[in-house]
Amino acid sequence: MKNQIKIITLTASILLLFSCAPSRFVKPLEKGESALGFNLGGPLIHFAGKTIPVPLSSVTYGKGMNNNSTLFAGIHTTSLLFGTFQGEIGYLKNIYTNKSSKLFIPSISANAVINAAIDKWEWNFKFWPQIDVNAYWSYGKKRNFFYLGCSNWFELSSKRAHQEKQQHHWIFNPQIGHTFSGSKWDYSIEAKYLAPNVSNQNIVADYAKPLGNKGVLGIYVSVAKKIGGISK
Amino acid sequence: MKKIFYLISFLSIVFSSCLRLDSNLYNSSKLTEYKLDNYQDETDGDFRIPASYDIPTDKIHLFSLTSGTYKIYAVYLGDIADISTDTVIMYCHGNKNHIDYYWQRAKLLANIGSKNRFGVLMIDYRGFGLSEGKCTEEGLYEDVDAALAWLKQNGLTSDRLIMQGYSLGSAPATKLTATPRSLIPSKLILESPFASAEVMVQDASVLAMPGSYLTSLEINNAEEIKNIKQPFLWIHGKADSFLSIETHGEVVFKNYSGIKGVAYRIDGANHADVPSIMGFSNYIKALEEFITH
Repeated sequence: MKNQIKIITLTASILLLFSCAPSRFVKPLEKGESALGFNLGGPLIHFAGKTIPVPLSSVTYGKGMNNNSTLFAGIHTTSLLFGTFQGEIGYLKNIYTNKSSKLFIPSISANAVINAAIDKWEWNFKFWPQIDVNAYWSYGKKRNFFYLGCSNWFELSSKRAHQEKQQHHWIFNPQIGHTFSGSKWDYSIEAKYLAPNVSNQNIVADYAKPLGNKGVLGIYVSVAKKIGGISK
Repeated sequence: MKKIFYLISFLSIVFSSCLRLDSNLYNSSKLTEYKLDNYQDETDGDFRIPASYDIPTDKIHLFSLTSGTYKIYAVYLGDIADISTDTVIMYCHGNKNHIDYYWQRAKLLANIGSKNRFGVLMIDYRGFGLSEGKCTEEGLYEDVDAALAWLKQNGLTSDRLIMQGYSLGSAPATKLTATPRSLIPSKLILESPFASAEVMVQDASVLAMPGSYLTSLEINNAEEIKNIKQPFLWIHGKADSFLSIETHGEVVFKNYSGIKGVAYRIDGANHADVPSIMGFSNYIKALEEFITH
């Protein structure tokens, strides 16, 4: 049966791109600093006998409003290939900053994001609010940081296709990641468990299911060029 | 200013891309010849029916017909000369491979009631097996209608036509029953049907996302079924891991408001193994019951 869906397996997995991208910003940029990032990765699928992340891509730009908050926007470049524009605009704020020397105490940040999409075929427009909360631990001279958190998507529609009830309104995605921070470039890797509250059974997509019948594991890498700001 | 111009140019070029999932629905493969009973590779559902269900070779007719500008291939199980008096099942197969892959299923149908009680016609849509061309949504409808036109030429009338669709085949079966062309099917049977391309998108994305974000397919059995008044039989595996019974089959069945709806929800059956899980004799008995009553 798995062969029956062949490429559908890959492409249907792309469908989840709309709710899965790596965290745009976990730690605020400095005031006046900006960063242009490129993200690649997605949910793990079985393809050609291997388990690979769907190579979804997006571009993000952020600017530090002050040392505690960052305004950012992003575009999903893969969905553009389908004639669908998906963009997002978000605001990151540090809600707790660890100023002590105790490394085990994290700083905590939160993102409020609006994701919106429109296609050129039927001009269907949708938007999804998103709230992310992350705890991060900075260490070392270059202020690399490790983070743990949760990305939360909200589906506001009460109905899905054919006027059926939309079952899931809150899609939470726990995540863990690490950012290697250089003076000009940041490099990040993140693992995100997508929708662990949702069954991964009986759908067209052939996702890898390392943790059973719920959710999908996604792997992402990001690189961001930092521009301006005060040198760390 | 220059940067903004470049950005807008880039977005315009990329946004004008036309990558769509449509063609991925068709998982055809080409053949150099049809083997039917001698086909040894994997079959749909990976089942082979017992030899007692075999059809005499003089009642197996492989032939080609024209659909649009393409030559497509078909197999008729029964006596072509008796089409003018027989009841015939037009069987629309699923999205994979070719006639050989679904041959066991066609033979099973030719045993409904008794051996060759009903004629069975199965075609390879364009792009499948030996059929020319490339499969498209409209091509599916054209090809099945070409087969119906062939049946009509051989004397079939609408009151003796049973339309059956399995999986992808539920699209032409439903479409040509809701909006008939050459013949008006008297009854409709759908096995493991999908509701619409949009449901596929939403099942995979979890979100109530418009299907148009990724596909231009207009296949919509859940809406087409509303226009069907003929008796309708629906069979679906409760453990269907490809097309969920809840989001696909149940929606189609719920939207049917014709004169007689019969549903079989099969415990433990996945997408392709409904006949074997149900038991071959039970499967054909259920179909016989529906066709004859």
